[in-house]
Amino acid sequence: MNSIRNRLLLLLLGVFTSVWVVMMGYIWQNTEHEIEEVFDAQLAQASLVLLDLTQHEITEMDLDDFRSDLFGAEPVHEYEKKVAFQVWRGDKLLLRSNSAPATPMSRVAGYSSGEMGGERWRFLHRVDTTGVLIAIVGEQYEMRNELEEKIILQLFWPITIALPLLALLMTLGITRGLHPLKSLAAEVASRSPTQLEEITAKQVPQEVSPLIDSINTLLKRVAQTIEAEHRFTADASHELRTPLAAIKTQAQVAKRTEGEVSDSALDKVVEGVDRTSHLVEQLLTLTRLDPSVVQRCFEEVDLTVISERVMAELAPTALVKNIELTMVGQRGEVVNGSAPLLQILLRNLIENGINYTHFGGKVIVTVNTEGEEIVLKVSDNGLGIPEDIRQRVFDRFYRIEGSSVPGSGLGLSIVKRVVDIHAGTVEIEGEQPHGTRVVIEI
Amino acid sequence: MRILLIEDDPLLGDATEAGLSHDGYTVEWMHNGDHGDSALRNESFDGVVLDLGLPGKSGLDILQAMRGRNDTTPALILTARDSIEDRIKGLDSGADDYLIKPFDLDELSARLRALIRRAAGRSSPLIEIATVVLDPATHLVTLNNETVNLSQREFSLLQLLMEAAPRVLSRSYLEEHLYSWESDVGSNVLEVHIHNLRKKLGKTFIHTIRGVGYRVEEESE
Repeated sequence: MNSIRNRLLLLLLGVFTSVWVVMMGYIWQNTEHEIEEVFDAQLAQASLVLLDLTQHEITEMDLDDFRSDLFGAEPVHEYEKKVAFQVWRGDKLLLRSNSAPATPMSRVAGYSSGEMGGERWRFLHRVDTTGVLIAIVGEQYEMRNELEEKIILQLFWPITIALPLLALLMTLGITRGLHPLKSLAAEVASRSPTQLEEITAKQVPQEVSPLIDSINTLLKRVAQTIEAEHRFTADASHELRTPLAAIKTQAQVAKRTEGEVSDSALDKVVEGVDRTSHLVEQLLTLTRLDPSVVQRCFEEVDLTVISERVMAELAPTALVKNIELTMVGQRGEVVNGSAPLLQILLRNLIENGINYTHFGGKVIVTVNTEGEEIVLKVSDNGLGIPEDIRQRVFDRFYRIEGSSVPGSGLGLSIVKRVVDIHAGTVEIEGEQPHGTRVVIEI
Repeated sequence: MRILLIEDDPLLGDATEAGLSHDGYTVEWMHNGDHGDSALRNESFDGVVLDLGLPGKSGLDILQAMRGRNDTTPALILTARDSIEDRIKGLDSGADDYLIKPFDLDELSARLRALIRRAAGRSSPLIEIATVVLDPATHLVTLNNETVNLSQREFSLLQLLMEAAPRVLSRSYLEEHLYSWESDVGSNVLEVHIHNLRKKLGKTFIHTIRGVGYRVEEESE
């Protein structure tokens, strides 16, 4: 489980145990060495005493009378079997302990180790100053090991018992330390989806505050998006109600009248449905323009080719109003963008040009490169847009007052959105003597 | 009954005008707020039906201005905004009723009738004077409990006179409330209708007040 508590606990216990193991190893080594020294020093001391005593005895009595009283004596301490000594004069054994054999325990001078009676022993072979007497003292390794073990165990047990206790304390500590996170989680969990105010946790640890800041930023953005969506839905439903009311009322008029009046009302029902469908289509286009989705499908798009295609599509509409459609520009004006969206943009602009231009007017599409930018211009010699509202026409559902041409008020919002997605700019200029020119730079 | 309709949507305005005209109202349709406002200042209407989101003066501005100059013409708001706040704002601005788009033509007509009736100070939907009973909802007129057949114009004229009784209504007032501006009114059309009504309802029901106009009276002489 990926829990901070468990990870911290494992990490801390791991570090603690490793440090402890290393420490134990170090202590063990040191203890072993010190014990060796102390015991070896004791051997040296014992050999010296033996040699000294023996020398003294030899000068006091005849060597032939020298015999040990020790032979055959009953041991008084269980450890007696674990120590042994021999005193030699040349190759004649003068003296030995019960536990020592009749042969020299060690033949080399100084300290040595060896087997004796199935046990490991430590020996000291010492020659006296005259070079005649030799004392050999020995001691089983078991004695040293026993002491070592005792010391190590005394260190080991308390810590082994302390470890689970330590783990428990650490768990409690960490849980307490993580409490702010838990209360933060509870705060967030208790929120309803519409509750998007900032999180204002007070006692937050320093490490958590960047997280809270990011969550707050995200919450703010989500709130803004939801707000925009709400506004859009409200606007959209509002905008749909009027055409629906028109359809309903026209239908009711058609139902209660006869002849010409009824026919005309029915025609207007159809007109109303067409208008509403157009509005719905435009609304859908607008909502589908999600930059993150669209920008993934960017490709090389030849604006001239697309303009020609859209103009060909709209030629029949232009023909009805006897409007001249002209294209100025060479092929090869390539931008990085979305072909379907640029097509929607051009269709909206050229359609506007046709709709808001009088019979026999002109709509000109120009594509050319100016510096780094590709500039697309759609101009007409139609009604024109007053200067003071040239920014407002990009607002959703904005329609110019007294406009006699039916429309959704969304066409230029869509144009703006498409331009934004392509990181371009759009501006509306006036034409002389009258008319509109929309300039887009991508 | 002369109604001022202020609605900027061409299709909806057209249909509302046609529908209300069919129900016997005389409808004047203004396409924007400014025109609607000046129509209200210069003419008299029996009721106003207005949209809130209008180009030029907004519906609420028109209402407030109207009530500010003590114009008590009944007003009904037609709007796409259905929030409670919007309704309250509309009613507080001086509207008498509220309909949310899309609405039902019959309901609009019925609500207008009720508004006009209340404005005239009547609580009964039927107008009864002497032995003549007029039902604005069904367009039925009875004399001594017998149905009288009236043309649309005759009915409207009778309704105007009976609603106003015992006041005298001038010729110009009657013409204004019977015909919208576009229609061509002949000089003696009103006399013809009065003549026809007298034929159907008896000579003494409608009185001519010389040099002033016409009226109907409770006590026939």
